[in-house]
Amino acid sequence: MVENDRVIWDVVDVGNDFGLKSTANLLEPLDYSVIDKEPILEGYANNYRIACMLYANVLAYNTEHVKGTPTSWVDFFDTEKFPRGRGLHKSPSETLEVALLGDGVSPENLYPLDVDRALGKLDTIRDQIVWWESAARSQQQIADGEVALISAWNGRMQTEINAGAPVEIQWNQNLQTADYLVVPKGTSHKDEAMKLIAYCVSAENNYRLSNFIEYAPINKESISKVDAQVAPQLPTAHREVGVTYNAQWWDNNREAVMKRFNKWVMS
Amino acid sequence: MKKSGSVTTIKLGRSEFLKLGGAGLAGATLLGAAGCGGGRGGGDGGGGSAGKGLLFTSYGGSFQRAQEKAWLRPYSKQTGTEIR
Repeated sequence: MVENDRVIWDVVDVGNDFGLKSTANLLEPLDYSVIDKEPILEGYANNYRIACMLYANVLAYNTEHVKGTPTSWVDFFDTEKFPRGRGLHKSPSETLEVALLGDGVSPENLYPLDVDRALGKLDTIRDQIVWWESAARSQQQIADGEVALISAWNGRMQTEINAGAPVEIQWNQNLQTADYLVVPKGTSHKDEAMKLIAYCVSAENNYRLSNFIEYAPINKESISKVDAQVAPQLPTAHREVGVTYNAQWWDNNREAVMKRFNKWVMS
Repeated sequence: MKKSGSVTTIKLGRSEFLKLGGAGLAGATLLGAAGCGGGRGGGDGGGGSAGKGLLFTSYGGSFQRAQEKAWLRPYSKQTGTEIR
């Protein structure tokens, strides 16, 4: 974003654990006189970031390599019932949640995350884990059957399903969260950046993303505009069986947890 | 208001952003990641966004293509701001 005092990017789509207090020093405050915050779902518009879509981290599986139907994250960790590889994001965020849900922690008691317990659970399938670092890799893993089950982002999994891959999504305990738009500090195009963000999150435009990938609007006035054919594939249709990601917990704990996770991965 | 410039889209992995979060202003890490991952952006001749309009970065693949189709291209058409 800033290199040799030169700003490289103006508008950045970032993950759910970025853009709160611990990273505020990197960002411009959003201009809510330009961006209409009022119709944005509660909790998704902050000083330095505004969500542009809702997504879910889901359990997906390859139907050619799975006999039966996995129904929960507990099944994800059951390698006797469902043998073969497991795709997991090489990042503690979302992965630790999956591990704890897989260990039987109830959604109400998920946070604060018990990191020891989560890593202990991941240890039980260490030999089966195939890490993915890019979303494109997660798609390849599950479509090719390199892994039988995967923890990944619903839109990317649906991209494979739409392309004819033998993949299904299991929505029970899907982890509901969002991607955000931010403006790196020091941009020389701040006003234009705010305008672009205002456009993306507006009622008139926000829903349109769903026509191309199965992520949901964050603008309440845009939700009704979503194509009826697409709506059932969006995370919003599976909210009642979903678990809400706690970005604030991650902002408070990310650095320490990252260190522990990376150490565990290397051990 | 200045003449509309161009918006460059490049991809950026979540892990690179996490690196940034952990390391402070690790711009070089980010630039390196974008340069090898996206195949566009990061370089752009003079580099950086100054004088060249907006640069938009996301996660690549089907998601970034969707963002381009849903938002960036229509925005470009409406405002005259080039999107690269």
